[in-house]
Amino acid sequence: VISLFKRVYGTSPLHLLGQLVAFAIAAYAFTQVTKVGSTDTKSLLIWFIGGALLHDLVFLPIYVVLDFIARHGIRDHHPQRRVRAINYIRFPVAISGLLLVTAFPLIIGRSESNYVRLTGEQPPDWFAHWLLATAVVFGVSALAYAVRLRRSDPSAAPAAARADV
Amino acid sequence: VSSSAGQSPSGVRDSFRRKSSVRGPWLTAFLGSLLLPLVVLVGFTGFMSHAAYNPNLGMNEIVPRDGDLDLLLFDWPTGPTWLYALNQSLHTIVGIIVVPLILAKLWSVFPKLFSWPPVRSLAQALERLSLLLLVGGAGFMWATGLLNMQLYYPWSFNFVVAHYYGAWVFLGALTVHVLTKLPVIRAAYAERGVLKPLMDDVADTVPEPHERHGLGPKEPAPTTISRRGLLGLVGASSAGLFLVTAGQSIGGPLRSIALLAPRGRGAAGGEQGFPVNKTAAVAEITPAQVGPDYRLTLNGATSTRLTRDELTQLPQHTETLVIACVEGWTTKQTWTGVRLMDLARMAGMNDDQLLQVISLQEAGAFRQTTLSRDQVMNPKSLLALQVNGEDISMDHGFPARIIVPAQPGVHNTKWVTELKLVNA
Repeated sequence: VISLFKRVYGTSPLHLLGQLVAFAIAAYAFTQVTKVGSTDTKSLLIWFIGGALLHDLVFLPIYVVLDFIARHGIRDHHPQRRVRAINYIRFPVAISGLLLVTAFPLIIGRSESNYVRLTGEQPPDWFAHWLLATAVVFGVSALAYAVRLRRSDPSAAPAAARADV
Repeated sequence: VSSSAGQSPSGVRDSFRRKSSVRGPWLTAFLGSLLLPLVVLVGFTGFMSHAAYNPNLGMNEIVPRDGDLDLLLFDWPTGPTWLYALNQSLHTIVGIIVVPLILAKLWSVFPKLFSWPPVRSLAQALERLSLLLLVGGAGFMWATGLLNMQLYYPWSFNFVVAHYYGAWVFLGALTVHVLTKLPVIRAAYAERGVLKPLMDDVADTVPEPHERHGLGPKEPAPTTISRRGLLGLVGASSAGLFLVTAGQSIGGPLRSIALLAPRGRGAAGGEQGFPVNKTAAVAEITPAQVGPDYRLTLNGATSTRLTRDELTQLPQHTETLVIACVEGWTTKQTWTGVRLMDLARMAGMNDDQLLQVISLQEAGAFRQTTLSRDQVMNPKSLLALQVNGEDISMDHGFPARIIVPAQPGVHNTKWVTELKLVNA
């Protein structure tokens, strides 16, 4: 019986039971949340499906294009030093980008009206804060790159050739 | 950098077809192993926060009680006094710094989205559907959580209710996912070692095979980052997020570099030097309500009305207590006022009674709170009249507010007009 099940279903019955548990919990949660008068089911589904697609359809194409530009646009001026520039660009771009993604309501002013209404005060300039944080991470990365370049300069100190990141 | 220097259309196509040389079952298993305990911690503290609102008392519930899983509720303790601050700091800080890890995990399994044929068996079809619950649940939980912390609510549902039930969907799908993938994780570690692939630098990085799982690259792109380099990228991003947000919870010098936290650097100091969650104007408290005609009503076996002056004549106590918001920010101040237990006794509180605290505020979910007996009887629980030696300002709850150790910030009701004994 088990082998027949495996042939029809594809794997063990335990797998099926597990999946059904996940669906049952989701269905329970869905019936509970839609029972609440203030719930707009359409809005709920948009956020849920949107959440599933956000990474693969929005973020990933951005990584791919940025990485393509980085791979083809960055030429190392000191190839003999075995220090590659690309990761000194990737790190600050990733950090600054993540700050933007996670704090965009503050940065692009989406939080402002509620902030003013609830606290009765003007918010700080979060866009400027993001630019400042971005400047700091690029600065730190540039410094690290300069140090690595100098250390691996064959004509300078006899530092052993170091492996890359 | 890249060996394929061609800029011709075929070179471009070739460049996009080639996949990262660090993707593979080991990388996915390792990212998942790092992610799991952190996500479990965020989930656990989320449910703890739900319990901290004592939703089973009085009219405290926000998530309708008939659908609530009461098994997970308990009388929220009143100590240590920083318990709720710790809980919410963990929930929000770990929730934020885990984002790069979640994105890396999704990036590592991206090729699976296009596996061909899309459905090979009924089992696989169901699994893909339950992955929609997992990924959709993660997207939903993190998007709504992060936006709510930033006072931005672009949706048409109750955040608390949806975030609570979303957690069930996400954690249910996550549990099933982890159990389903255990053999794959074990195999990846058995084959390559748990930590060994971290030793390889860029030059030694050998792509994992494409066969079997389809996670490894079919045609690897030239290696530009090692596996430990990728983990370093994730770690550095998490560290960056920590530095610019955690200060609003942890305080101290970190607060001054919390550039991207709603209650971090440059945020409104608020009246009396600490943040206001909601002003008296928003709560529609009028000066007349808090003027000479203000009375605090004690409603129990008998009804007593006290003026603010009479309240100041009662024995006063001073406590330094932290207020922690569900959104993660905290502030520690020194409060002076009358012990709630003294007022409850004046009203004739019995062993099986609770205390409902009612605000002058006429609308809103938090215009009243019901406190447990433990909360009322804790000697640190105050009806505060002063903060840091001066009368509490309007926006912080003048003429009187309650402050109860270790409970969610919004349950420290402001502009208190009535303390009412209710049966449990």
